[in-house]
Amino acid sequence: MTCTACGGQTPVGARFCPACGARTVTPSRSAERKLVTVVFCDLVGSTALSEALDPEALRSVMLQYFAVLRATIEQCGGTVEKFIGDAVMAVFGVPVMHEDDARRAAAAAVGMLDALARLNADLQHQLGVRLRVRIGVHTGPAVASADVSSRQALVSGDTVNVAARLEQSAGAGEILIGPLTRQALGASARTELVGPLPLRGVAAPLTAYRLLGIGADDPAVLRRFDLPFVGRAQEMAALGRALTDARVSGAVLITVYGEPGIGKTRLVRAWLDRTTQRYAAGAGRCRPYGDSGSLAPLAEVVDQLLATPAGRAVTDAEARGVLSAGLLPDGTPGSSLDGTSAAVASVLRELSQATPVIVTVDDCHWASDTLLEVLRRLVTVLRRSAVLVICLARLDLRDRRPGWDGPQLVLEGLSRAESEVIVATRAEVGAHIAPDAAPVLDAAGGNPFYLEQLLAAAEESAPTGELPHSLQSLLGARIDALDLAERSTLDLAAVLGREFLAADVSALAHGGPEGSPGGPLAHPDAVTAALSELRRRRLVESAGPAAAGDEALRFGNGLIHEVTYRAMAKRTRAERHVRAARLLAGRTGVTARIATHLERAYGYRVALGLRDEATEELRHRAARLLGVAGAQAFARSDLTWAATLLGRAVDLLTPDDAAWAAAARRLGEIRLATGRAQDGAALLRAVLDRCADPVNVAHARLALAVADDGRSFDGAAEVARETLPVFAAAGDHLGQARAYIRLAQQSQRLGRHGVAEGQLRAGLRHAVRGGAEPELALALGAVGVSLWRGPMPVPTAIDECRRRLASHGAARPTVQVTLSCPIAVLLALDDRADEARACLTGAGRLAAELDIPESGVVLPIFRAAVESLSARPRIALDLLDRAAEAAERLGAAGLLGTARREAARLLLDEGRYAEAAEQLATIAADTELLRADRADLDGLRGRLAAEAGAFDEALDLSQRAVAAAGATDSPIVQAVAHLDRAAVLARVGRREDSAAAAVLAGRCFAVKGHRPGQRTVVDFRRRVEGARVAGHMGGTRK
Amino acid sequence: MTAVSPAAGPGLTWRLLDHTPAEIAIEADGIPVTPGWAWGGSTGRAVRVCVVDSGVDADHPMVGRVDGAWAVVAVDAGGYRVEPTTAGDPCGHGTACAGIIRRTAADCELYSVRVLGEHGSGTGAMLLTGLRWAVRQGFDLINLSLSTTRIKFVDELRAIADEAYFGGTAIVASAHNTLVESFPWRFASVISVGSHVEESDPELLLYNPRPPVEFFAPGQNVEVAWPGGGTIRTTGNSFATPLVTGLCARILSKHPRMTTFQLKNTLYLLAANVRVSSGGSA
Repeated sequence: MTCTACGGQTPVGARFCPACGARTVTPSRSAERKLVTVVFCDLVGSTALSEALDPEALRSVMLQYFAVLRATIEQCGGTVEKFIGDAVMAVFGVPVMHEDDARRAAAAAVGMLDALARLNADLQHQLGVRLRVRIGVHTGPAVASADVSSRQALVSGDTVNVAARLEQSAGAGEILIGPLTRQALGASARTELVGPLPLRGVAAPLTAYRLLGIGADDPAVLRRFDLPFVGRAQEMAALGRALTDARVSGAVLITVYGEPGIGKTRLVRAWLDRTTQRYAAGAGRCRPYGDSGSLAPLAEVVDQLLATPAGRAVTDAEARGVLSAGLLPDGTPGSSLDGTSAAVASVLRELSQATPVIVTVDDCHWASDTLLEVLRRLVTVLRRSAVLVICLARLDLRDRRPGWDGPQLVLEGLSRAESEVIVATRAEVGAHIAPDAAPVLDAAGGNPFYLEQLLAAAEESAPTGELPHSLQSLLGARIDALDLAERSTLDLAAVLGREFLAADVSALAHGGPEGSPGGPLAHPDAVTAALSELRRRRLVESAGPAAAGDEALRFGNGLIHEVTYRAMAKRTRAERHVRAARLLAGRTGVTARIATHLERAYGYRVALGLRDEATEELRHRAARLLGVAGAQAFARSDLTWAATLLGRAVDLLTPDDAAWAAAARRLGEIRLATGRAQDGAALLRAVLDRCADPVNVAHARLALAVADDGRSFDGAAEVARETLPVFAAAGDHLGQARAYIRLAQQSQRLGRHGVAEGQLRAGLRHAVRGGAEPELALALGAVGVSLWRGPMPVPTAIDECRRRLASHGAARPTVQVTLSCPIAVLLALDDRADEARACLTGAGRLAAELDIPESGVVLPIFRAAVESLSARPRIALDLLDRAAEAAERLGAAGLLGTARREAARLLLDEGRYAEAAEQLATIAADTELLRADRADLDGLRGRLAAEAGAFDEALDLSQRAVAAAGATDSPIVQAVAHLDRAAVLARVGRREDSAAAAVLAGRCFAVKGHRPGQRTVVDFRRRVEGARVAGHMGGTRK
Repeated sequence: MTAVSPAAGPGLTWRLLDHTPAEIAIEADGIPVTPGWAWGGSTGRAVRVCVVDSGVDADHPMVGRVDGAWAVVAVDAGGYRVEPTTAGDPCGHGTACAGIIRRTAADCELYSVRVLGEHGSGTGAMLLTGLRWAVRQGFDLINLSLSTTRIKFVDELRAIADEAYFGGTAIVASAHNTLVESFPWRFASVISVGSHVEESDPELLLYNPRPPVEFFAPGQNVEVAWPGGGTIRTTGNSFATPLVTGLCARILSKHPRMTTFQLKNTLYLLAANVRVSSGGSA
């Protein structure tokens, strides 16, 4: 450390400089953002006063005036910031926040008026003058640079201006308060609405209130004790046991610990309400700042007990006398502490003879040592009396009194189910809609008060997304109470995230000023010690073991993390995020996290107006890493995350940045793949317009061509043929994989499954080398289709598919989905329908998790195929209806056509010709079709024409179907065309030809190993040829 | 102070989550009832259905005509009064319920009494005022997709429910979504409804072999009318209840002299998991 006086070096921890003897200055906390309450008080009519008084008298009056104000402010825990002329400005919340700063400020304002009234009584008497003041109080966010050593606080922000304006708008003897102060005071304050007040220098009129007085800060009023009490059965049982112990074996002291808002006070009240044991009870509460004697809480207890019928009958007159002289009037020990303790013990002992006595002392973390000592002594001397003393305290009490006596009960957060009950039962009457309360439940972490505040904030007419001020105060006070080392540790952890590693916090500290010589975390073990303290205070908890002996930790709940993070100045956050990014650099699998740190640092610097080179560099690095992380997520088939990351990258960049094209192109591709076709196409066209890099242009062209495929058939294959050399030259495996797949898809459209297989093998190879999961999945899915539709016999095809699933499917859900579909149909072709269904059910579950929009169309089509092959046409029709609906929603014309044709075929087979015709009519005449689909459609239309008696047309269409099918290498397509032809021929009466066509169909089905198809042919022949036989027989009988 | 604890044991079922309809099959005595007899051809015509909720957006295409709308309002002197309103539905919940009733019983008469505020919550006093008023208007059916957890309202609510039961008004009341005790669905005098998660049949009605919740209807991912003319998909027992109300409207339109206990019996015999195996005169 360097001495600020002489510049010499001082040892760490020294309080005085060894060279010059000057007091060393502890490093001050850097600027913090916090919630403060500012009070302005100014003298009214000071000119008249100065005219009326002699300058010396005036000076004496003013000194008394300032002294009275300062004393009142400091008594309430405020800091006098400055005197401006005759005005004083005080701040509550610096150097440290208290959860009740607004209340303290209001109490100070009221107290100043009271103190001034007393002063005026003297002044009137001595000098014939009176001082009159006006006061403004306003609560709001501010930036405070707090120097702990000098207790000097510099507060700036709009909150100060508004408080000053409120003061100027107040009349003499009046206190005006702002809306947040009003809100924070709650039901305990008496106020009048002044209305929207236009304030000079403040943009919008402010809703101001006139403060008339403040009442008791009873927790039952400040917190919602009217709501149903939830859970805590075990803790109640423990209190019950403690009372039994006290009754049987003499006085017991039990301490209930818990963080603020966890429900300590309510637990005891609920238990007292419910317990079936008889008791007499008195309760008192400690307060954070002194306006009463140190034993005041005990005085409340004794007062209540003496007011009961049994209390009024207490016979020990001497004890009564002692208590009436000291404890009861002002909460002090009076003449002697021993005497008072003995008197209280005597009263309790006498009362406890009739019925057990329960003494509850709330908020014991604020109890004076004297009070704690008296309580301890009472329990000792009452060891033969049925007295239960319950102390309620925050965990801080354990810091103050490590050996604090007796058994303890620590309240943890409520369970998720219990928290849900709180949400569900909050309103007296509630609608039975299932609310999405998950975010609030997560943030509250089982603390009922936090939960209540968050729910109330969410219901405000215009939710701001900001934390409720009550929580900002409460949690801000908790973290402000930490010492510098603990606070710095918590701050650094907050930068790392809600979950963090202990070693990372340490490394972050030692990479910056906090861990440098003179910094609060300079000692090598400082972070470890601070983290252990933070855990003890329940601000931080274990999140399970991490690798290599390190420990994963997390913030006790989301709110503590949020408040800690937000309390840091933006400049501090920016600087620490940069350091966090540096810390993570070089680790694997953390690209997105590094990018996020840089992105935040950039955002804060922009918000602060720091538009310099360093900021620019942050933007570039953040965008580049977001792009990399997005591409990685994309390659891992996580499209949703990839879209988020790439979207953030594109937001950071402009088309003039080199990194823009790749990020925008990938984002466009994902948008297309996730059903946001218009956005995606627009982005890709922008890439074509603005980008010179041939590889990105080639990708964009190919993606657009694929997206356009519904309109310009084979366009994608043409573009694939053109771009393949570009990708090959650049060594871009992803591009080559994509191009080969598009070529293979064209081969499949032509029904050339043999060629397609070869192209898909090439595609697959590049996809593996490029680590491109979606392409791998696409190629494997396409291979599946060729194995299903192509010449390979069913059993071999199933084996082949399964082999590929085994080598590529593990840990690749997308591959499992795309291969499962053709496998399912192949199984159904082999008469293994149950296996087929199970296969598709699994695929459906995976697809839902992966959020693949097309799966809503494709899966029902495959399920329909399986059902139709296992002779359940009605179910198949329902599924196809669903597929068609989904296809229409998605605008997937090709899949819609497939669903319609499949439905038409099922309807035709059932003899529902009109409905079949209806299905086919909806397929646009000009749609370009796959060769196999063309054969299918012509076959169907032929059969319909035959039923309608248009025999020539029917024969022509079915002939065309057979020809088209013949140009493919698919036995299934050929078989179906032959069978359609056979149906037409039978209908027109050419039974011999029909039989021949059916035989051909049967052969094709047999080649494939298509069992249901072979049965269909047999059935068909039996029907057609059997009809002839039956006709003959009928004739004979006649 | 009332005490509330979650998971009040296996005896109570609020929603049918971990059982399939087949697993809760019930054999029942009685004369079999067919849907055709119960409501075949019925669209709920001339049945007066009142939605006691957050109001109803009468302009919504899925709601159609609202034949009367009232709201419970605070009176300056203290207390509450029911008065006509044109304010619609500031919350959306009542509109969603009304849309389901209209979808189920296209020609019923729909009325609205608003007792909830904009966040789907309200006070016990407003509920008592609004519900009592609706019962005394003699509506055929009251849809109540809400409840109160506060014990202090139980006696008055029970009296109102009994008054409805004997006066010929059937209250169809939704069970709470969370495992808590609340009212009035816990009373035997109302027809209580929870939800099942089957999405295949939008009118699948099940009887719960383990009451107090008596019936289950679809309440998961239900498409409902929402203020502004559109729809949303949402979940809750709130949306199972109006389906049962709509089914009741169809039954009452065809059998206007049915009492509430006959209506409940008819629903029981119609439930998909109830098989009537004996009965008749034997």
